[in-house]
Amino acid sequence: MQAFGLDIAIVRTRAGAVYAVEGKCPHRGGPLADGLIGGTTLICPLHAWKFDLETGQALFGECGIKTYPVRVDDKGHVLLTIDKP
Amino acid sequence: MKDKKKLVVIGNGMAGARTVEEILARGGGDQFDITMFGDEPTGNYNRILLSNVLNGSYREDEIYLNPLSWYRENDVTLLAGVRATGLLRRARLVFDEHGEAVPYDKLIIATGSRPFIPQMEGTYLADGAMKPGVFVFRSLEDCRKIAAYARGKKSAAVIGGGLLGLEAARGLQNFGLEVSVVHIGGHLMPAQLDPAAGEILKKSMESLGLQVLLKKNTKSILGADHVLGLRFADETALDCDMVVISAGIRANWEIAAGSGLTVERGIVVDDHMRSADDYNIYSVGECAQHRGQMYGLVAPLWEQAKVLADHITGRNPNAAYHGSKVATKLKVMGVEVASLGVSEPQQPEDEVIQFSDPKRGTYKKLIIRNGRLVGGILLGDISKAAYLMQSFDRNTPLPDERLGLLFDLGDPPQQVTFDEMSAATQICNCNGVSKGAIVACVQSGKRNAKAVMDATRAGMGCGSCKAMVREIVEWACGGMVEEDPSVHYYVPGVPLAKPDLIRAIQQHNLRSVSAVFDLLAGGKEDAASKPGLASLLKTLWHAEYEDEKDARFINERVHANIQKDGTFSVVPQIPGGVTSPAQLRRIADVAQRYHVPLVKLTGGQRIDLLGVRKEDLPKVWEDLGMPSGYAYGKSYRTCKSCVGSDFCRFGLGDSIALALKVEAEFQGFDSPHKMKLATAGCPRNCSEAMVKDVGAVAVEGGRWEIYVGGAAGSAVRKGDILCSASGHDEVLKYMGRFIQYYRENAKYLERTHAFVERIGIDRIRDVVVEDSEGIAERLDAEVAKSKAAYKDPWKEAYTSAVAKEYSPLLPVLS
Ligand SMILES: Cc1cc2nc3c(=O)[nH]c(=O)nc-3n(C[C@H](O)[C@H](O)[C@H](O)COP(=O)(O)OP(=O)(O)OC[C@H]3O[C@@H](n4cnc5c(N)ncnc54)[C@H](O)[C@@H]3O)c2cc1C
Ligand code: HEM
Ligand code: HEM
Ligand code: SF4
Ligand code: FES
Repeated sequence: MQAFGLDIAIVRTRAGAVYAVEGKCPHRGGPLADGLIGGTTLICPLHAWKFDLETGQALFGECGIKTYPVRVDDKGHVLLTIDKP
Repeated sequence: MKDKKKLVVIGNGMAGARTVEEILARGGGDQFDITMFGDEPTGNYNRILLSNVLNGSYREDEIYLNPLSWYRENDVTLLAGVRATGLLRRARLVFDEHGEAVPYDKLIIATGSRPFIPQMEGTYLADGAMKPGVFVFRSLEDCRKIAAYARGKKSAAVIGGGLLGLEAARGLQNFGLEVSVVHIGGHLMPAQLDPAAGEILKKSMESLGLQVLLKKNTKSILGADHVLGLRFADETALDCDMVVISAGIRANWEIAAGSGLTVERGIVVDDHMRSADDYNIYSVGECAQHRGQMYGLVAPLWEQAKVLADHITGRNPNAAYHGSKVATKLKVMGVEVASLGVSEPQQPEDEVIQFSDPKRGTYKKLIIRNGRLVGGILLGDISKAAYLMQSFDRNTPLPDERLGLLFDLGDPPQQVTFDEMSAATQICNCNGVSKGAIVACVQSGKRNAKAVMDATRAGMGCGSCKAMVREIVEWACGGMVEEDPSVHYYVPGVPLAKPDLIRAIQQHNLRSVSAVFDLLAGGKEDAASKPGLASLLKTLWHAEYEDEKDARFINERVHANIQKDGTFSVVPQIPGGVTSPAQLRRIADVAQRYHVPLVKLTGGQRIDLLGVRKEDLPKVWEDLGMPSGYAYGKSYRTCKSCVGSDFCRFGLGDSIALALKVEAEFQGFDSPHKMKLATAGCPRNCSEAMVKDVGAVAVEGGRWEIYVGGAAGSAVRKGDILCSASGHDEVLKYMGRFIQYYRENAKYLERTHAFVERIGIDRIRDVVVEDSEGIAERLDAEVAKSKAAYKDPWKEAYTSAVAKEYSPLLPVLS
């Protein structure tokens, strides 16, 4: 989704946890919302860079993606906290 | 967790710890409370690297495989520094040296071996302690003692001219000592080399400053309260300040023998690695004796650990170890040596091929029986080792051209060696990884190719550089690569090879990817393993497969190929490259209506609409009204054809009609990797059928030759002829059987060309054409089931209400 000019990927894991992270891969801008998820690992669909959803850290190398605090309220709305850029 | 069984492991070395790892990987943590006795006070470390610790190229902390934290994290109780001294089988108790008892339900004895100390006067002091200056070389503790004593000394002797003795000698040289190797036999490294090779190795060792004394039987160690020298049986003597004894090893079997288990040279085990006498007791590693054989290298022990783990966890009650073929590649003081199987001919008809160039320190010898390799020695130049070890291991027939087995003939001049290659040379162009980065990664402790690839991403793009990355890792490890067990797994996240995985899936009736993770991977999801599992499950269960969207790669989820900007490409089915004005008109209309930026003819004789936005996909498909061409899947893609006998003046067979039937037969088949097919109307092969995954080429007499395993992508390979078939129906039958055999036996992402090379065309022909395994009928039936399960995924998508899946936007509430 896009908000405040930011691209954000919101994903739900099989275990039911919801995460919000930067939507564009730092490698070549791959759409992370279209990635594969297993446990808390997210794999970019373009060249398979891997990130940890909890920390945003790439599983190799130094770069990472931004993570955003997120929770789901009892009506099923996904609430995100974003610092306005 | 009351009903967990108690598993006790005696010995926390390379075999014991690896076996526990394998057991945990099979979900054994839920079945067992695990306790390990470890005589040594530390976690498990890589014994192979001890000589590198001794020579200073590694620090102690760099060789740990399982640091103490590993035991905590995996809930394994390690009794570090505690020696097990007794075993009471009837009560199922293990006693330690203080008499404390630990109960077990299952026991694994992995006590390894200890150095053998030959009878020599003056080895021990009167009080029974070893004389100061006498050492063995087996543990980190030994390393520390040797290093501490060597400082300030002038000379050292090593008793034993085997691999370990030479390694110890190299380590000692680094302390600035004059080192002599004293060997009782007539040549060095008798376990790996013949006399001629031993002689050449001796010359190489001497040129590196080592003194080599052969046929010397050490009678006594001189010196009253510390080492002063050695005296030999021929009454000659050698002065030295210290001595390292490396005269072979003896298995630690006392604890087993003391409780009445059968022990010969080692603890006798059956094919499950279980004691011959007690079904609750297993043994693994250097202390175990299997079919009369003992192993002193790590590679066989990895295989044993897997079998043991499969069996003890019940994952595969039929798991069986059949013994290992021993082939090693090592570096002795910088000299490269490879050795496989026997070192001398054993039977009169054995063929020996030999090359010797003592001046350059090169020696090569192969022993061939019935056209297959049964043994060999390569010394100095081991450039052919990888090829030879592979054919030894797989027992494949050797080519008639024997000279080519020893040398690269007529090939372009040898590429630069890794020593010469600059650190900045880019190895992986996809991910920009240099030779220097790979070496640094190895030095940081990643000691197998997969670990290095995971850490640096080298080889993780197109994969074309993988072989080179592997070679550099081997080179940087100095030949001491650790085998990565996961290379044999079908997917990395489930520790099973494909046949075992299939058996487990069928036995437990697992129909979804999540069910497989739950049962076979200890509940641990692995993202990278999902698409491979999804593909396999679909192949196995056909229509009964329980689809889970999260298991599919984006391409398979949205039935289109993701592009670099996140848009998709749409390729409708055009079998045989045959279309019609009406179809073309519809395609043109759709391209205009949805502002498709690029319309292009593909290599597969189809039409590609590129740059379609995700949210437009369902409408595009509906307006096209054509089925998916599967241009995105790890699946059957398409079948090209040439014009064939209908129009072409050379045509011998109707290649277009055949292509249409092929498409109707195999459309939508999932497979380990993509399959591209073609049919050609004559051997002029205009549709390139001979370089397709599967191709059919018409020949005289109404027959078709079926080619399999061709490739014309990042690898180029002409296919092998599987068989010749008469008429379209027979072509379809054999194609189908091959495809199904490939689907069931290939690793995920293994293209047919690699698969055919791995299995061998003769074997495939035996199974698929001659039906040597009696499975042809079943293969045919599986093909029929997959065919019946075909549904056009596009039609399914636009006729069901899943439009939101294709939307990138959620309503923002703010
Ligand atoms: C210097 C050196 C270099 C080597 N180089 C190579 C090489 O290049 N390639 C290769 O393939 N192999 C090499 N090897 C051989 C390889 O290290 C062994 O094959 C391997 O370690 C055997 O594993 P294991 O678990 O059977 O025995 P070990 O690793 O010896 O483990 C047995 C463990 O059990 C402990 N133990 C024994 N008895 C008891 C008891 N009663 N109670 C508690 N604990 C006990 C021991 O202290 C030890 O820690 C080398 C070995 C050495 C010493
Ligand atoms: C042998 C080396 C390489 C391999 C095997 C490789 C592989 C790939 C693959 C499989 C894709 C996805 C294509 C698709 O989805 O259609 C891709 C895309 C891409 N790669 Fe590479 N790549 C390599 C080298 C490089 C290098 C050196 C760069 C840049 C310096 C690079 C930049 C890109 C970019 C920008 C894309 C996305 C654009 C596109 O798909 O064309 N690649 N690459
Ligand atoms: C009588 C038999 C043949 C007929 C009727 C035939 C027909 C054609 C036609 C009509 C074209 C032009 C297509 C175009 O412009 O896209 C063509 C191109 C071509 N033909 Fe043939 N051809 C025949 C034999 C062969 C043979 C024997 C070969 C190869 C061994 C061959 C290889 C090619 C190639 C490589 C092209 C160019 C393809 C391209 O541009 O994409 N043709 N053929
Ligand atoms: S392969 Fe043979 S039949 Fe087919 S177009 Fe080429 S020449 Fe004609
Ligand atoms: S854009 Fe994400 S891995 Fe390349």
